[in-house]
Amino acid sequence: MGTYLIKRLLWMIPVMLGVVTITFFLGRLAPGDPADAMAGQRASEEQRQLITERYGFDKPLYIQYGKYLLNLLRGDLGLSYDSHRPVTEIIMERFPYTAKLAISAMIVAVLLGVSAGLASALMPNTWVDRVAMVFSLIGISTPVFWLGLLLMYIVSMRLQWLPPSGYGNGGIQYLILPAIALGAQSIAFLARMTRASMLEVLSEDYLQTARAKGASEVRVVVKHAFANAIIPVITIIGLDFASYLSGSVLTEKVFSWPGLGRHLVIAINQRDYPVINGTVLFFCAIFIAINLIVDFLYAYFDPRIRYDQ
Amino acid sequence: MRALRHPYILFGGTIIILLVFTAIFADWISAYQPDAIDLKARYQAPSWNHWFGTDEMGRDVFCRTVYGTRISLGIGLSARTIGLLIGLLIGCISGYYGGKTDLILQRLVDMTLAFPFLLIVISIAVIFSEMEQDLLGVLIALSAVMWASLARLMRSQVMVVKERDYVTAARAFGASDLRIIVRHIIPTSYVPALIWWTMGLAQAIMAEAGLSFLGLGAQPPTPSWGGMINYGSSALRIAPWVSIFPGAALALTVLGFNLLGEGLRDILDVRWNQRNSI
Repeated sequence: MGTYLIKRLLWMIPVMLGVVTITFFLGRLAPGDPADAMAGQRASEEQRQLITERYGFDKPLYIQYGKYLLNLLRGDLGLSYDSHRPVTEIIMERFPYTAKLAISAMIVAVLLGVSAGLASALMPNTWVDRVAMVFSLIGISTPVFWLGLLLMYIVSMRLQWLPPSGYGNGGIQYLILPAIALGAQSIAFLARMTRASMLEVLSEDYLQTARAKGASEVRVVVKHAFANAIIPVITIIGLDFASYLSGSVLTEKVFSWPGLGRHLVIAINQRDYPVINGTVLFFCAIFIAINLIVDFLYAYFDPRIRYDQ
Repeated sequence: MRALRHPYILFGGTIIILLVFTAIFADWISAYQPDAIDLKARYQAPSWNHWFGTDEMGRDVFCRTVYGTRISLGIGLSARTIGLLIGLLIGCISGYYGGKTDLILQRLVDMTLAFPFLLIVISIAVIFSEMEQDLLGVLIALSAVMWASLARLMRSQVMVVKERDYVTAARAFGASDLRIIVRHIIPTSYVPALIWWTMGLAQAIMAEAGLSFLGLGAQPPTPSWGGMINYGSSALRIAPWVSIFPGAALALTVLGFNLLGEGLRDILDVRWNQRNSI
Protein backbone atom coordinates (compact mmCIF):
# COMPACT_ATOMS: atom_id res chain seq x y z
CA MET A 1 0.00 0.00 0.00
CA GLY A 2 2.78 2.40 0.94
CA THR A 3 4.75 1.80 -2.25
CA TYR A 4 1.59 2.14 -4.25
CA LEU A 5 0.78 5.45 -2.63
CA ILE A 6 4.19 6.90 -3.36
CA LYS A 7 4.19 5.54 -6.90
CA ARG A 8 0.83 7.09 -7.64
CA LEU A 9 1.83 10.41 -6.10
CA LEU A 10 5.02 10.53 -8.17
CA TRP A 11 3.07 9.66 -11.30
CA MET A 12 1.07 12.85 -10.82
CA ILE A 13 4.16 14.92 -11.60
CA PRO A 14 4.60 13.91 -15.26
CA VAL A 15 0.85 13.99 -15.85
CA MET A 16 0.57 17.52 -14.48
CA LEU A 17 3.68 18.53 -16.40
CA GLY A 18 1.98 17.17 -19.52
CA VAL A 19 -1.09 19.33 -18.92
CA VAL A 20 1.05 22.37 -18.17
CA THR A 21 3.06 21.85 -21.36
CA ILE A 22 -0.08 21.50 -23.46
CA THR A 23 -1.69 24.63 -22.01
CA PHE A 24 1.55 26.57 -22.36
CA PHE A 25 1.95 25.78 -26.04
CA LEU A 26 -1.73 26.27 -26.80
CA GLY A 27 -1.43 29.68 -25.17
CA ARG A 28 1.56 30.57 -27.35
CA LEU A 29 -0.11 29.34 -30.54
CA ALA A 30 -2.77 31.98 -30.07
CA PRO A 31 -2.37 34.97 -32.38
CA GLY A 32 -1.60 38.49 -31.21
CA ASP A 33 0.90 39.88 -28.71
CA PRO A 34 0.07 38.50 -25.25
CA ALA A 35 1.73 41.41 -23.43
CA ASP A 36 -0.48 43.92 -25.28
CA ALA A 37 -3.58 41.86 -24.64
CA MET A 38 -2.81 41.36 -20.94
CA ALA A 39 -2.00 45.00 -20.30
CA GLY A 40 -4.99 46.34 -22.21
CA GLN A 41 -5.26 49.41 -24.40
CA ARG A 42 -5.27 51.95 -21.62
CA ALA A 43 -2.10 50.64 -20.00
CA SER A 44 1.06 52.71 -20.00
CA GLU A 45 4.22 51.57 -21.77
CA GLU A 46 5.70 50.97 -18.34
CA GLN A 47 2.99 48.54 -17.30
CA ARG A 48 3.37 46.78 -20.60
CA GLN A 49 7.12 46.45 -20.02
CA LEU A 50 6.47 45.07 -16.58
CA ILE A 51 4.22 42.35 -17.95
CA THR A 52 6.66 41.50 -20.75
CA GLU A 53 9.40 41.20 -18.15
CA ARG A 54 7.31 39.11 -15.75
CA TYR A 55 6.23 36.51 -18.31
CA GLY A 56 9.29 36.75 -20.54
CA PHE A 57 7.31 37.42 -23.70
CA ASP A 58 10.38 38.95 -25.39
CA LYS A 59 12.54 35.92 -24.60
CA PRO A 60 12.95 32.64 -26.54
CA LEU A 61 10.25 30.03 -26.10
CA TYR A 62 12.16 27.78 -23.69
CA ILE A 63 12.77 30.69 -21.30
CA GLN A 64 9.10 31.62 -21.54
CA TYR A 65 8.27 28.03 -20.66
CA GLY A 66 10.61 28.13 -17.68
CA LYS A 67 9.06 31.38 -16.50
CA TYR A 68 5.61 29.90 -16.99
CA LEU A 69 6.52 26.97 -14.72
CA LEU A 70 8.07 29.24 -12.09
CA ASN A 71 5.09 31.59 -12.12
CA LEU A 72 2.80 28.59 -11.86
CA LEU A 73 4.53 27.45 -8.69
CA ARG A 74 3.79 30.89 -7.30
CA GLY A 75 0.17 30.53 -8.33
CA ASP A 76 0.51 33.08 -11.12
CA LEU A 77 -1.42 32.09 -14.25
CA GLY A 78 -1.14 35.40 -16.03
CA LEU A 79 -3.63 38.21 -16.55
CA SER A 80 -7.00 38.05 -18.21
CA TYR A 81 -7.08 39.67 -21.66
CA ASP A 82 -10.52 40.94 -20.88
CA SER A 83 -10.57 42.24 -17.31
CA HIS A 84 -6.75 42.43 -16.89
CA ARG A 85 -7.14 40.79 -13.50
CA PRO A 86 -4.98 37.86 -12.36
CA VAL A 87 -6.41 34.57 -13.65
CA THR A 88 -5.87 32.90 -10.28
CA GLU A 89 -8.05 35.51 -8.64
CA ILE A 90 -10.86 34.87 -11.15
CA ILE A 91 -10.61 31.12 -10.63
CA MET A 92 -10.74 31.41 -6.85
CA GLU A 93 -13.72 33.72 -7.11
CA ARG A 94 -15.71 31.47 -9.46
CA PHE A 95 -14.78 28.00 -8.31
CA PRO A 96 -16.91 27.89 -5.11
CA TYR A 97 -20.04 28.21 -7.27
CA THR A 98 -18.95 25.28 -9.42
CA ALA A 99 -18.08 23.23 -6.35
CA LYS A 100 -21.51 23.91 -4.87
CA LEU A 101 -23.19 22.77 -8.07
CA ALA A 102 -20.99 19.68 -8.42
CA ILE A 103 -21.59 18.57 -4.84
CA SER A 104 -25.34 19.02 -5.22
CA ALA A 105 -25.28 17.05 -8.47
CA MET A 106 -23.41 14.27 -6.70
CA ILE A 107 -25.96 14.11 -3.89
CA VAL A 108 -28.82 13.90 -6.42
CA ALA A 109 -27.00 11.24 -8.44
CA VAL A 110 -26.10 9.07 -5.46
CA LEU A 111 -29.56 9.17 -3.92
CA LEU A 112 -31.42 8.40 -7.13
CA GLY A 113 -28.84 6.25 -8.89
CA VAL A 114 -27.95 3.92 -6.05
CA SER A 115 -31.57 3.38 -5.05
CA ALA A 116 -32.65 2.67 -8.62
CA GLY A 117 -29.77 0.22 -9.02
CA LEU A 118 -30.61 -1.48 -5.72
CA ALA A 119 -34.27 -1.82 -6.64
CA SER A 120 -33.30 -3.33 -9.97
CA ALA A 121 -30.89 -5.79 -8.44
CA LEU A 122 -33.30 -6.95 -5.76
CA MET A 123 -36.05 -7.48 -8.31
CA PRO A 124 -34.09 -8.67 -11.34
CA ASN A 125 -36.03 -9.21 -14.57
CA THR A 126 -39.21 -7.66 -13.21
CA TRP A 127 -40.82 -4.55 -14.63
CA VAL A 128 -39.04 -2.43 -11.99
CA ASP A 129 -35.72 -3.69 -13.28
CA ARG A 130 -36.60 -3.18 -16.94
CA VAL A 131 -38.01 0.31 -16.45
CA ALA A 132 -34.97 1.35 -14.41
CA MET A 133 -32.55 -0.03 -16.99
CA VAL A 134 -34.34 1.50 -19.98
CA PHE A 135 -34.40 4.85 -18.19
CA SER A 136 -30.73 4.57 -17.41
CA LEU A 137 -29.87 3.93 -21.06
CA ILE A 138 -31.92 6.97 -22.02
CA GLY A 139 -30.21 8.93 -19.25
CA ILE A 140 -26.76 8.02 -20.54
CA SER A 141 -27.76 9.07 -24.04
CA THR A 142 -29.25 12.45 -23.16
CA PRO A 143 -26.88 15.38 -23.67
CA VAL A 144 -26.63 17.40 -20.47
CA PHE A 145 -27.22 20.75 -22.16
CA TRP A 146 -30.35 19.56 -23.94
CA LEU A 147 -31.76 18.00 -20.79
CA GLY A 148 -31.06 21.27 -19.02
CA LEU A 149 -33.05 23.25 -21.58
CA LEU A 150 -35.86 20.72 -21.49
CA LEU A 151 -36.09 20.92 -17.69
CA MET A 152 -35.91 24.68 -17.83
CA TYR A 153 -38.72 24.86 -20.37
CA ILE A 154 -41.05 22.41 -18.67
CA VAL A 155 -40.42 23.04 -14.97
CA SER A 156 -39.65 26.76 -15.00
CA MET A 157 -41.36 28.26 -18.01
CA ARG A 158 -44.46 26.10 -18.33
CA LEU A 159 -45.15 24.92 -14.78
CA GLN A 160 -43.39 27.91 -13.18
CA TRP A 161 -42.30 25.83 -10.22
CA LEU A 162 -38.71 27.00 -10.13
CA PRO A 163 -36.74 30.00 -11.41
CA PRO A 164 -35.36 29.26 -14.91
CA SER A 165 -31.76 30.33 -14.45
CA GLY A 166 -29.20 32.39 -12.59
CA TYR A 167 -28.00 32.21 -9.03
CA GLY A 168 -30.52 34.55 -7.42
CA ASN A 169 -30.02 34.85 -3.71
CA GLY A 170 -28.21 31.51 -3.66
CA GLY A 171 -31.34 29.66 -2.56
CA ILE A 172 -31.91 25.99 -3.22
CA GLN A 173 -34.64 26.72 -5.78
CA TYR A 174 -31.95 27.98 -8.15
CA LEU A 175 -29.82 24.91 -7.57
CA ILE A 176 -32.30 22.10 -8.16
CA LEU A 177 -32.54 22.07 -11.96
CA PRO A 178 -28.83 22.56 -12.70
CA ALA A 179 -27.98 19.85 -10.19
CA ILE A 180 -30.42 17.38 -11.75
CA ALA A 181 -29.19 18.18 -15.28
CA LEU A 182 -25.55 17.82 -14.30
CA GLY A 183 -26.16 14.68 -12.26
CA ALA A 184 -28.47 12.94 -14.76
CA GLN A 185 -25.82 10.98 -16.60
CA SER A 186 -24.30 9.68 -13.44
CA ILE A 187 -27.71 8.75 -12.02
CA ALA A 188 -27.85 6.43 -15.01
CA PHE A 189 -24.29 5.16 -14.65
CA LEU A 190 -24.64 4.64 -10.92
CA ALA A 191 -27.90 2.73 -11.36
CA ARG A 192 -26.26 0.35 -13.81
CA MET A 193 -23.11 -0.07 -11.77
CA THR A 194 -25.01 -0.65 -8.52
CA ARG A 195 -27.24 -3.19 -10.22
CA ALA A 196 -24.35 -5.12 -11.80
CA SER A 197 -22.31 -5.03 -8.64
CA MET A 198 -25.22 -6.10 -6.42
CA LEU A 199 -26.15 -8.97 -8.74
CA GLU A 200 -22.59 -10.21 -8.67
CA VAL A 201 -22.39 -10.10 -4.90
CA LEU A 202 -25.87 -11.58 -4.41
CA SER A 203 -24.72 -14.77 -6.13
CA GLU A 204 -21.80 -15.27 -3.75
CA ASP A 205 -21.74 -18.25 -1.44
CA TYR A 206 -21.10 -16.29 1.72
CA LEU A 207 -24.62 -14.86 1.53
CA GLN A 208 -25.96 -18.42 1.77
CA THR A 209 -23.71 -18.95 4.75
CA ALA A 210 -25.08 -15.84 6.40
CA ARG A 211 -28.63 -16.98 5.72
CA ALA A 212 -27.85 -20.46 7.06
CA LYS A 213 -26.55 -18.88 10.23
CA GLY A 214 -29.97 -17.33 10.67
CA ALA A 215 -29.33 -13.75 9.57
CA SER A 216 -32.49 -11.94 8.54
CA GLU A 217 -32.92 -11.14 4.84
CA VAL A 218 -32.60 -7.41 5.53
CA ARG A 219 -29.36 -8.02 7.34
CA VAL A 220 -28.06 -10.21 4.54
CA VAL A 221 -28.84 -7.59 1.92
CA VAL A 222 -27.68 -4.54 3.84
CA LYS A 223 -24.78 -5.80 5.88
CA HIS A 224 -23.36 -8.52 3.69
CA ALA A 225 -24.32 -7.75 0.12
CA PHE A 226 -24.63 -3.97 -0.10
CA ALA A 227 -21.52 -3.25 1.94
CA ASN A 228 -19.47 -5.24 -0.55
CA ALA A 229 -21.30 -4.21 -3.67
CA ILE A 230 -20.87 -0.53 -2.93
CA ILE A 231 -17.07 -0.61 -3.23
CA PRO A 232 -16.85 -0.40 -7.03
CA VAL A 233 -19.72 2.09 -6.93
CA ILE A 234 -17.66 4.41 -4.74
CA THR A 235 -15.06 4.52 -7.50
CA ILE A 236 -17.70 5.54 -10.00
CA ILE A 237 -19.00 8.23 -7.66
CA GLY A 238 -15.52 9.68 -7.39
CA LEU A 239 -14.83 9.54 -11.12
CA ASP A 240 -18.21 11.08 -11.86
CA PHE A 241 -17.55 13.86 -9.43
CA ALA A 242 -14.39 14.66 -11.35
CA SER A 243 -16.31 14.64 -14.62
CA TYR A 244 -18.86 17.12 -13.24
CA LEU A 245 -16.13 19.70 -13.53
CA SER A 246 -16.09 19.36 -17.32
CA GLY A 247 -19.85 18.87 -17.38
CA SER A 248 -20.26 22.10 -15.46
CA VAL A 249 -19.05 24.00 -18.53
CA LEU A 250 -22.18 22.98 -20.43
CA THR A 251 -24.62 23.03 -17.51
CA GLU A 252 -23.50 26.41 -16.22
CA LYS A 253 -23.88 27.90 -19.69
CA VAL A 254 -27.46 26.61 -19.93
CA PHE A 255 -28.51 27.88 -16.52
CA SER A 256 -26.33 31.01 -16.42
CA TRP A 257 -24.79 29.65 -13.24
CA PRO A 258 -22.00 32.04 -12.21
CA GLY A 259 -19.34 29.36 -11.78
CA LEU A 260 -15.99 28.68 -13.38
CA GLY A 261 -17.53 26.65 -16.22
CA ARG A 262 -19.62 29.56 -17.45
CA HIS A 263 -16.67 31.85 -17.06
CA LEU A 264 -14.71 29.49 -19.30
CA VAL A 265 -17.42 29.75 -21.96
CA ILE A 266 -17.26 33.54 -21.79
CA ALA A 267 -13.48 33.38 -22.05
CA ILE A 268 -13.79 31.09 -25.09
CA ASN A 269 -16.05 33.56 -26.85
CA GLN A 270 -13.69 36.43 -26.09
CA ARG A 271 -10.63 34.34 -26.91
CA ASP A 272 -9.26 35.21 -23.48
CA TYR A 273 -6.43 32.68 -23.62
CA PRO A 274 -4.87 33.08 -20.17
CA VAL A 275 -8.29 32.46 -18.61
CA ILE A 276 -9.05 29.50 -20.93
CA ASN A 277 -5.72 27.82 -20.31
CA GLY A 278 -5.65 28.65 -16.62
CA THR A 279 -9.13 27.24 -16.11
CA VAL A 280 -8.36 24.09 -18.09
CA LEU A 281 -5.19 23.63 -16.07
CA PHE A 282 -7.05 24.14 -12.80
CA PHE A 283 -9.83 21.71 -13.75
CA CYS A 284 -7.24 19.13 -14.87
CA ALA A 285 -5.39 19.42 -11.57
CA ILE A 286 -8.59 18.83 -9.61
CA PHE A 287 -9.59 15.99 -11.92
CA ILE A 288 -6.24 14.26 -11.44
CA ALA A 289 -6.30 14.83 -7.68
CA ILE A 290 -9.79 13.37 -7.34
CA ASN A 291 -8.80 10.35 -9.41
CA LEU A 292 -5.89 9.82 -7.06
CA ILE A 293 -8.08 10.05 -3.97
CA VAL A 294 -10.54 7.59 -5.52
CA ASP A 295 -7.73 5.12 -6.17
CA PHE A 296 -6.60 5.35 -2.58
CA LEU A 297 -10.13 4.96 -1.25
CA TYR A 298 -10.56 1.92 -3.44
CA ALA A 299 -7.39 0.33 -2.18
CA TYR A 300 -8.40 1.20 1.37
CA PHE A 301 -11.93 -0.19 1.16
CA ASP A 302 -11.07 -3.34 -0.71
CA PRO A 303 -8.21 -5.27 0.87
CA ARG A 304 -8.42 -7.79 -1.98
CA ILE A 305 -6.71 -5.29 -4.22
CA ARG A 306 -3.00 -5.53 -3.83
CA TYR A 307 -1.56 -2.70 -5.72
CA ASP A 308 1.93 -3.44 -4.48
CA GLN A 309 2.26 -6.35 -6.84
CA MET B 1 -29.02 -13.38 -37.68
CA ARG B 2 -29.02 -14.11 -33.98
CA ALA B 3 -27.93 -10.50 -33.62
CA LEU B 4 -31.15 -9.18 -35.15
CA ARG B 5 -33.23 -10.87 -32.50
CA HIS B 6 -31.56 -8.82 -29.79
CA PRO B 7 -33.93 -5.90 -29.10
CA TYR B 8 -31.11 -3.42 -28.48
CA ILE B 9 -29.40 -4.24 -31.75
CA LEU B 10 -32.65 -4.20 -33.66
CA PHE B 11 -33.76 -0.87 -32.23
CA GLY B 12 -30.35 0.81 -32.22
CA GLY B 13 -29.55 -0.51 -35.69
CA THR B 14 -32.84 0.80 -37.10
CA ILE B 15 -32.17 4.27 -35.69
CA ILE B 16 -28.68 4.31 -37.19
CA ILE B 17 -29.77 3.06 -40.60
CA LEU B 18 -32.45 5.76 -40.70
CA LEU B 19 -29.89 8.38 -39.72
CA VAL B 20 -27.43 7.31 -42.38
CA PHE B 21 -30.21 7.48 -44.97
CA THR B 22 -31.18 10.92 -43.67
CA ALA B 23 -27.61 12.15 -44.00
CA ILE B 24 -27.18 10.79 -47.51
CA PHE B 25 -30.56 11.82 -48.89
CA ALA B 26 -30.91 15.13 -47.01
CA ASP B 27 -31.43 16.96 -50.30
CA TRP B 28 -34.48 14.86 -51.13
CA ILE B 29 -36.01 14.63 -47.67
CA SER B 30 -36.62 18.29 -47.05
CA ALA B 31 -38.66 20.68 -49.15
CA TYR B 32 -36.53 23.62 -47.98
CA GLN B 33 -32.91 24.74 -48.10
CA PRO B 34 -31.11 24.70 -44.72
CA ASP B 35 -29.92 28.31 -45.09
CA ALA B 36 -32.96 29.74 -46.88
CA ILE B 37 -33.90 32.81 -44.84
CA ASP B 38 -37.54 33.92 -44.72
CA LEU B 39 -37.87 36.84 -42.33
CA LYS B 40 -41.65 36.89 -42.73
CA ALA B 41 -41.81 33.43 -41.20
CA ARG B 42 -39.73 33.90 -38.04
CA TYR B 43 -40.40 31.67 -35.01
CA GLN B 44 -43.39 29.87 -36.48
CA ALA B 45 -44.69 27.00 -34.40
CA PRO B 46 -44.56 23.47 -35.86
CA SER B 47 -47.19 23.10 -38.57
CA TRP B 48 -47.93 21.06 -41.66
CA ASN B 49 -45.64 23.34 -43.69
CA HIS B 50 -42.84 23.47 -41.13
CA TRP B 51 -42.86 20.19 -39.20
CA PHE B 52 -40.41 21.41 -36.58
CA GLY B 53 -41.34 25.10 -36.88
CA THR B 54 -38.96 27.88 -37.95
CA ASP B 55 -36.07 29.66 -36.25
CA GLU B 56 -35.06 33.29 -35.67
CA MET B 57 -34.42 33.83 -39.39
CA GLY B 58 -37.46 31.93 -40.57
CA ARG B 59 -35.38 28.92 -41.60
CA ASP B 60 -37.07 25.52 -41.49
CA VAL B 61 -35.95 23.68 -38.34
CA PHE B 62 -36.82 20.24 -39.74
CA CYS B 63 -34.66 20.87 -42.78
CA ARG B 64 -31.76 22.12 -40.65
CA THR B 65 -32.09 19.16 -38.31
CA VAL B 66 -31.96 16.80 -41.31
CA TYR B 67 -28.83 18.48 -42.67
CA GLY B 68 -27.33 18.54 -39.17
CA THR B 69 -27.17 14.76 -39.34
CA ARG B 70 -24.31 15.13 -41.82
CA ILE B 71 -22.09 17.10 -39.47
CA SER B 72 -22.82 14.89 -36.48
CA LEU B 73 -22.33 11.58 -38.24
CA GLY B 74 -19.51 12.91 -40.38
CA ILE B 75 -17.43 14.24 -37.50
CA GLY B 76 -18.33 11.34 -35.22
CA LEU B 77 -17.45 8.64 -37.74
CA SER B 78 -14.24 10.31 -38.91
CA ALA B 79 -12.94 11.14 -35.43
CA ARG B 80 -13.72 7.63 -34.28
CA THR B 81 -12.08 6.00 -37.28
CA ILE B 82 -8.93 8.10 -36.97
CA GLY B 83 -8.88 7.21 -33.26
CA LEU B 84 -9.29 3.54 -34.19
CA LEU B 85 -6.29 3.65 -36.50
CA ILE B 86 -4.10 5.47 -33.97
CA GLY B 87 -5.20 3.13 -31.18
CA LEU B 88 -4.56 0.03 -33.29
CA LEU B 89 -1.15 1.24 -34.37
CA ILE B 90 0.05 2.29 -30.94
CA GLY B 91 -1.50 -0.71 -29.19
CA CYS B 92 0.07 -3.18 -31.62
CA ILE B 93 3.51 -1.58 -31.52
CA SER B 94 3.36 -1.39 -27.75
CA GLY B 95 2.27 -4.96 -27.22
CA TYR B 96 4.33 -6.53 -29.99
CA TYR B 97 7.70 -4.94 -29.34
CA GLY B 98 7.45 -4.55 -25.55
CA GLY B 99 10.44 -3.19 -23.65
CA LYS B 100 11.26 0.52 -23.72
CA THR B 101 8.91 1.26 -26.64
CA ASP B 102 6.07 -0.24 -24.67
CA LEU B 103 6.95 1.68 -21.54
CA ILE B 104 7.03 5.04 -23.28
CA LEU B 105 3.83 4.42 -25.25
CA GLN B 106 2.00 3.21 -22.17
CA ARG B 107 2.93 6.36 -20.28
CA LEU B 108 1.53 8.33 -23.20
CA VAL B 109 -1.67 6.31 -22.96
CA ASP B 110 -1.90 6.81 -19.19
CA MET B 111 -1.39 10.51 -19.62
CA THR B 112 -4.06 10.84 -22.29
CA LEU B 113 -6.53 8.97 -20.11
CA ALA B 114 -5.65 11.08 -17.08
CA PHE B 115 -6.95 14.28 -18.69
CA PRO B 116 -10.55 15.37 -18.46
CA PHE B 117 -11.66 14.59 -21.99
CA LEU B 118 -13.94 17.51 -22.83
CA LEU B 119 -11.64 20.19 -21.45
CA ILE B 120 -8.64 19.15 -23.50
CA VAL B 121 -10.84 18.94 -26.57
CA ILE B 122 -12.07 22.48 -25.85
CA SER B 123 -8.61 23.95 -25.53
CA ILE B 124 -7.44 22.38 -28.80
CA ALA B 125 -10.62 23.37 -30.64
CA VAL B 126 -10.30 27.03 -29.54
CA ILE B 127 -6.95 27.38 -31.29
CA PHE B 128 -8.26 25.97 -34.56
CA SER B 129 -11.32 28.15 -34.27
CA GLU B 130 -9.00 31.16 -34.18
CA MET B 131 -7.56 30.02 -37.49
CA GLU B 132 -11.09 29.59 -38.85
CA GLN B 133 -10.61 25.86 -39.19
CA ASP B 134 -13.41 25.04 -36.80
CA LEU B 135 -14.51 21.67 -38.09
CA LEU B 136 -10.99 20.46 -38.69
CA GLY B 137 -10.17 21.57 -35.15
CA VAL B 138 -12.98 19.52 -33.66
CA LEU B 139 -11.91 16.51 -35.70
CA ILE B 140 -8.28 16.80 -34.64
CA ALA B 141 -9.17 17.49 -31.01
CA LEU B 142 -11.47 14.47 -30.79
CA SER B 143 -9.07 12.12 -32.58
CA ALA B 144 -6.20 13.32 -30.41
CA VAL B 145 -7.89 12.12 -27.24
CA MET B 146 -10.08 9.23 -28.40
CA TRP B 147 -7.56 6.49 -29.02
CA ALA B 148 -5.87 5.73 -25.74
CA SER B 149 -8.30 3.18 -24.31
CA LEU B 150 -8.16 1.17 -27.55
CA ALA B 151 -4.36 1.25 -27.50
CA ARG B 152 -4.46 -0.21 -24.00
CA LEU B 153 -6.97 -2.87 -25.04
CA MET B 154 -5.02 -3.82 -28.17
CA ARG B 155 -1.77 -4.00 -26.25
CA SER B 156 -3.07 -6.65 -23.88
CA GLN B 157 -4.64 -8.51 -26.78
CA VAL B 158 -1.39 -8.51 -28.75
CA MET B 159 0.63 -9.63 -25.74
CA VAL B 160 -1.54 -12.71 -25.41
CA VAL B 161 -1.76 -13.57 -29.08
CA LYS B 162 1.91 -13.10 -29.96
CA GLU B 163 2.84 -16.02 -27.71
CA ARG B 164 0.49 -18.39 -29.52
CA ASP B 165 1.97 -21.27 -31.48
CA TYR B 166 0.64 -20.19 -34.84
CA VAL B 167 2.34 -16.84 -34.52
CA THR B 168 5.61 -18.55 -33.67
CA ALA B 169 5.05 -20.82 -36.66
CA ALA B 170 4.40 -17.83 -38.94
CA ARG B 171 7.58 -16.23 -37.71
CA ALA B 172 9.49 -19.44 -38.31
CA PHE B 173 8.27 -19.36 -41.90
CA GLY B 174 9.84 -15.95 -42.22
CA ALA B 175 6.76 -13.74 -41.99
CA SER B 176 7.59 -10.10 -41.33
CA ASP B 177 6.44 -8.31 -38.18
CA LEU B 178 4.00 -6.27 -40.23
CA ARG B 179 2.49 -9.37 -41.78
CA ILE B 180 2.17 -11.08 -38.42
CA ILE B 181 0.42 -8.05 -36.92
CA VAL B 182 -1.91 -7.48 -39.85
CA ARG B 183 -2.70 -11.08 -40.74
CA HIS B 184 -2.54 -12.88 -37.42
CA ILE B 185 -2.99 -10.46 -34.56
CA ILE B 186 -5.48 -7.81 -35.66
CA PRO B 187 -8.07 -10.36 -36.88
CA THR B 188 -8.24 -11.83 -33.37
CA SER B 189 -9.20 -8.51 -31.85
CA TYR B 190 -11.79 -7.12 -34.19
CA VAL B 191 -14.66 -7.84 -31.80
CA PRO B 192 -13.52 -5.64 -28.91
CA ALA B 193 -12.32 -3.03 -31.40
CA LEU B 194 -15.74 -2.98 -33.05
CA ILE B 195 -17.53 -2.53 -29.73
CA TRP B 196 -15.04 0.15 -28.73
CA TRP B 197 -15.69 1.96 -31.99
CA THR B 198 -19.48 1.81 -31.71
CA MET B 199 -19.74 2.87 -28.09
CA GLY B 200 -17.30 5.70 -28.47
CA LEU B 201 -19.22 7.00 -31.48
CA ALA B 202 -21.95 8.05 -29.10
CA GLN B 203 -19.35 9.93 -27.04
CA ALA B 204 -17.80 11.55 -30.11
CA ILE B 205 -21.14 12.74 -31.44
CA MET B 206 -22.12 14.10 -28.04
CA ALA B 207 -18.76 15.88 -27.70
CA GLU B 208 -19.07 17.44 -31.16
CA ALA B 209 -22.53 18.73 -30.28
CA GLY B 210 -21.21 20.02 -26.95
CA LEU B 211 -18.47 21.95 -28.72
CA SER B 212 -20.84 23.53 -31.22
CA PHE B 213 -23.16 24.34 -28.33
CA LEU B 214 -20.24 26.29 -26.84
CA GLY B 215 -19.75 28.12 -30.15
CA LEU B 216 -16.79 26.01 -31.30
CA GLY B 217 -17.06 23.51 -34.14
CA ALA B 218 -19.35 24.09 -37.11
CA GLN B 219 -20.03 27.82 -37.51
CA PRO B 220 -23.29 29.39 -38.66
CA PRO B 221 -24.97 29.18 -41.05
CA THR B 222 -23.82 25.52 -41.27
CA PRO B 223 -26.57 23.54 -39.54
CA SER B 224 -25.17 21.56 -36.60
CA TRP B 225 -27.32 20.24 -33.78
CA GLY B 226 -25.25 21.74 -31.00
CA GLY B 227 -25.23 25.13 -32.68
CA MET B 228 -28.98 25.02 -33.28
CA ILE B 229 -29.60 24.16 -29.63
CA ASN B 230 -27.34 27.04 -28.63
CA TYR B 231 -28.99 29.67 -30.82
CA GLY B 232 -32.45 28.36 -30.04
CA SER B 233 -31.87 28.49 -26.30
CA SER B 234 -32.14 32.28 -26.20
CA ALA B 235 -35.70 32.03 -27.51
CA LEU B 236 -36.66 29.02 -25.42
CA ARG B 237 -39.68 30.70 -23.90
CA ILE B 238 -41.28 31.81 -27.15
CA ALA B 239 -39.99 29.16 -29.56
CA PRO B 240 -38.89 26.02 -27.71
CA TRP B 241 -39.00 23.95 -30.91
CA VAL B 242 -35.88 25.64 -32.28
CA SER B 243 -33.66 23.92 -29.73
CA ILE B 244 -35.82 21.01 -28.56
CA PHE B 245 -36.02 19.21 -31.94
CA PRO B 246 -32.33 19.18 -32.86
CA GLY B 247 -31.64 18.11 -29.27
CA ALA B 248 -34.07 15.23 -29.63
CA ALA B 249 -32.33 14.19 -32.86
CA LEU B 250 -29.01 14.26 -31.03
CA ALA B 251 -30.30 12.25 -28.08
CA LEU B 252 -31.86 9.70 -30.43
CA THR B 253 -28.59 9.33 -32.35
CA VAL B 254 -26.57 8.85 -29.20
CA LEU B 255 -29.16 6.38 -27.91
CA GLY B 256 -28.95 4.46 -31.19
CA PHE B 257 -25.21 3.98 -30.95
CA ASN B 258 -25.37 3.18 -27.25
CA LEU B 259 -28.05 0.55 -27.85
CA LEU B 260 -26.08 -0.99 -30.70
CA GLY B 261 -22.90 -1.04 -28.61
CA GLU B 262 -24.66 -2.58 -25.62
CA GLY B 263 -26.34 -5.16 -27.82
CA LEU B 264 -23.09 -6.12 -29.53
CA ARG B 265 -21.39 -6.42 -26.18
CA ASP B 266 -24.21 -8.60 -24.98
CA ILE B 267 -24.19 -11.11 -27.81
CA LEU B 268 -20.43 -11.12 -28.29
CA ASP B 269 -20.03 -11.47 -24.55
CA VAL B 270 -17.30 -8.94 -23.92
CA ARG B 271 -17.02 -7.09 -20.65
CA TRP B 272 -16.85 -3.49 -21.60
CA ASN B 273 -18.46 -0.21 -20.75
CA GLN B 274 -18.86 3.26 -22.18
CA ARG B 275 -16.45 4.70 -19.71
CA ASN B 276 -13.69 2.61 -21.25
CA SER B 277 -14.43 3.64 -24.77
CA ILE B 278 -13.28 7.24 -24.86
